[in-house]
Amino acid sequence: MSRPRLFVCSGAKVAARDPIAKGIHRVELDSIGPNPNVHISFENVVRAFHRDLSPRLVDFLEIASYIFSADCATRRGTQWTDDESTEPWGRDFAFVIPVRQPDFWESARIKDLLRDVLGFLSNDAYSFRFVPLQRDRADQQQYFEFGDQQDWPFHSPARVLMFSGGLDSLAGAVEMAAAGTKLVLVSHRSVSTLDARQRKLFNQLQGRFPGQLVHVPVWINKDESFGREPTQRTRSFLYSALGTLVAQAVDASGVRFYENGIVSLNFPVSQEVVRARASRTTHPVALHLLESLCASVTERNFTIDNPYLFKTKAEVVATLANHGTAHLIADSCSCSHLMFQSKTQRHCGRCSQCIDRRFATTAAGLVSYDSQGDYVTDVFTGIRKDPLERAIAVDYTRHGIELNLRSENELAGIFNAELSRAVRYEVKRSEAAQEIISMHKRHGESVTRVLEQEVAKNAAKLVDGTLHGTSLLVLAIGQERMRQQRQAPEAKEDQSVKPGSPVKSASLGQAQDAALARMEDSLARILAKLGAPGPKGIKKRTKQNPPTKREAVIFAAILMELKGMRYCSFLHNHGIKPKWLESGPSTYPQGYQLGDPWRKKIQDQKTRVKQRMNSYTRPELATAINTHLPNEFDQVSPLINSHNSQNASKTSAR
Amino acid sequence: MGHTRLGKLPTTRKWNELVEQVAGTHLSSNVADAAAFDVNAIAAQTLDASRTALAKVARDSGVRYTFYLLTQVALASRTSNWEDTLARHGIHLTSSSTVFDLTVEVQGAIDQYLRRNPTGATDLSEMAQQSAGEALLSLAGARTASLFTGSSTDARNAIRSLSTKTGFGKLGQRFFGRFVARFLNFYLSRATAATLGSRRMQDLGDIGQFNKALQVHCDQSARIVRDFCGEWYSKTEYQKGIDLGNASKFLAVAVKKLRSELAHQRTEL
Repeated sequence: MSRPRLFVCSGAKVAARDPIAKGIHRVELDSIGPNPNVHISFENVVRAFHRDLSPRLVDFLEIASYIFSADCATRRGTQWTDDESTEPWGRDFAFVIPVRQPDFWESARIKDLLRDVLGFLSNDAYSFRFVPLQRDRADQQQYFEFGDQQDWPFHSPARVLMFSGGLDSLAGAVEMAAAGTKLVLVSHRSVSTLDARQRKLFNQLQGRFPGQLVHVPVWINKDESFGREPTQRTRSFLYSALGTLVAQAVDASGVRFYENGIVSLNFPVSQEVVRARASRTTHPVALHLLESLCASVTERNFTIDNPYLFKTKAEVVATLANHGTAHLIADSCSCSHLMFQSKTQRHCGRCSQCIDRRFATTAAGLVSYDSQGDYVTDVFTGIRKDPLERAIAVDYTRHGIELNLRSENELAGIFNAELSRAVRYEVKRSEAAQEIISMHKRHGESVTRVLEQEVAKNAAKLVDGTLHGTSLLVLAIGQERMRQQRQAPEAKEDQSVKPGSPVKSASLGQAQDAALARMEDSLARILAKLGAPGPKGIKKRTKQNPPTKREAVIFAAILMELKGMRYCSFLHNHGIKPKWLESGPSTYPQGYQLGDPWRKKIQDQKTRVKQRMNSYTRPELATAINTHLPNEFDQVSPLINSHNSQNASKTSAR
Repeated sequence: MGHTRLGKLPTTRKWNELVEQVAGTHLSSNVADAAAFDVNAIAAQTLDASRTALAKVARDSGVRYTFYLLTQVALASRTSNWEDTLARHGIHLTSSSTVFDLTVEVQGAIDQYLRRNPTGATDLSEMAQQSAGEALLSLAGARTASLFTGSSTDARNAIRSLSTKTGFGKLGQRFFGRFVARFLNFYLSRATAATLGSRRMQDLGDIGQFNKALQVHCDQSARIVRDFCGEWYSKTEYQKGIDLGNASKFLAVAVKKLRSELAHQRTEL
């Protein structure tokens, strides 16, 4: 553990002989006085009105800002302890914070809630002393200006939406706006580059959904003179406080985060990633604890939720295309290196978020909207100088492949602690766990498929040895083995094909085919080592078109085990009309009522679609359902996994 | 908003030597078969380098409580009112609870214990929780039709097979084996990913194979505690009843035994 720190806030008085200060490194934080080092401000409100914020909410925002500032300003230890065998991860923080309602904040229940949620998010130890505020800020309106007229169109929304400007919150905003919902988007701004991008993206959104959105951007940052700790595990605590403040002002019933389930649950990509080393920003346990805290602060029912808990990032990205907003991908930003971004390139291409984004846009078939020029380093072929950047690329890819290859029971065992926490507040825990495992397998399948695609695309370069040794593809395939393979066949080719020979151009195509074949063999061998059933782990698939709407609807009906008139009505209700070779009834229900031969034709079509859908992978099927039946996605997607498992077992039984 | 934080091993001589060994820096020629890992030597060397942290295992209140709870879950399955017995440990089942639901409750009970405990959760306690869940699911799951369907009675019957002297010995072996593998990989996973592209770790598959070999090695090494564990469980419960105190003492002895077994295998090379 790093050296304990005492944060004395808002000009509180703490005597040197006070036990809380004894032997502890002391840091003064102030957002109220004439020379603040923590800066909080609200601005850019579309339609302003004046509403007094409750003193408790002002306290809440200040407390959250101090905690976040302390988190960001305190480096986690770098020197291993216990004879260099214990990694310093957790920190020890004490706070003395003057507040307007000390009785509320000093209560044991609230302090326990604060410790629980912050401990879960950051693995740090927290202690608090709340004292009466002696000197309030001069102008309380600097905190908040907003509109509260009852006829204001944004009054009383179901939720306020936390809007980071990344793909997930963008997709969530689009989905809600497309459903006709009026949206209040809340953003935390810490650096000017992020600010400009959020504004641009919001303007784009507003152009697409005019009059439906209002944006509440909030500047909160600390002086640069403090240190900088990149993990920032208490971010969602600050965001929740911000969201609660806005929710209370517009009479919303809660706060909504949009985060795909893979990132929200953040299963460890390797065994060094213990506890909050994998961030738990929107983990269900964190959201549950935050919800309890915010309900206590507001003294009313308060909901904090994440509707994307059972969706992969590729599925979330596909949502943007479903609503005709794929072009917005270009203006979203996922990179964690906000501080170092250039004006022209938003993504470093090396951090875990950039890797995840690129895999997702590629898997969803939307990479054309995610310009390569926006990446400083190509995710698949770029150089990774930093060993930790290499490690994250390697671990992300291997983890994804292993998720795809492992059985449901294996995953339930390996990730039992993580899975148990994920479903702790679910009513049907076993079902939720299966759904989460199914989602992870879909993610794993996407990662594997994208890797196959990229290896195939770069096969010639991989064989030639022209890709850098630290690129993701070379690390995955293995440069040394490629070199060994390269030498033998090249010697043969040198003897048979002389430079300038007319045979040479003809052999170029053959050489590319040979390179592709070699890469497929190499990848199959690697997958086999990671746990695939055999060396022929990769199925060579010819490219086929994605399922049509008709096929997706029929397949969904099959998965939902709809039969007879219910099956026909389902198709009819989704706008699917029969296509007979000869003239016949114009709807499926009519056809069913008329009996044979129409019933038989309906059944034959059902069987054909069922067979055809067996040739698609789970992610492809999930994408099709997400595209054509977005309202049924949550119900149908878990059934896809069991359908594919049944097929697999039938195949192996044969 | 998700971040994964990866760290580096210390750059002291003993850790540098270990990384070199993982990378195969001193191998005279290429290793054709990645299965040729001398995993036992690497495991023993890692244990040696991390011996101070390993010594803390038996003192860690989270690890202690986790092992103790395993004994209580096993013992509860032998009582006529298994749901009531488990409820006394904060494990609440309904008649429709599955084997998986049982592990959710076990993990919740450990988390709850650690929340009230002044030292709180640690990296070691988290590894113990992960290993306990994995051990319970892999062994009890093999004795039920499904982890995710069935009833509390099915879960009880599955756990009951682990409540005998032999059964608990197997549970203990699986728990300690998985715990040591996770403990070692807490360090080694930093070396395997960082040395990818080296002579020994040539491609992603080599990391997978290394991890598998390490787990098999740890599972096998934990055989040393299997009979010992079963005998202690049976004898202690019969004579005075298992409590947190005597379970913690046993844990210390078991870890010591396991450590010397892993070190012994190194000297046999």
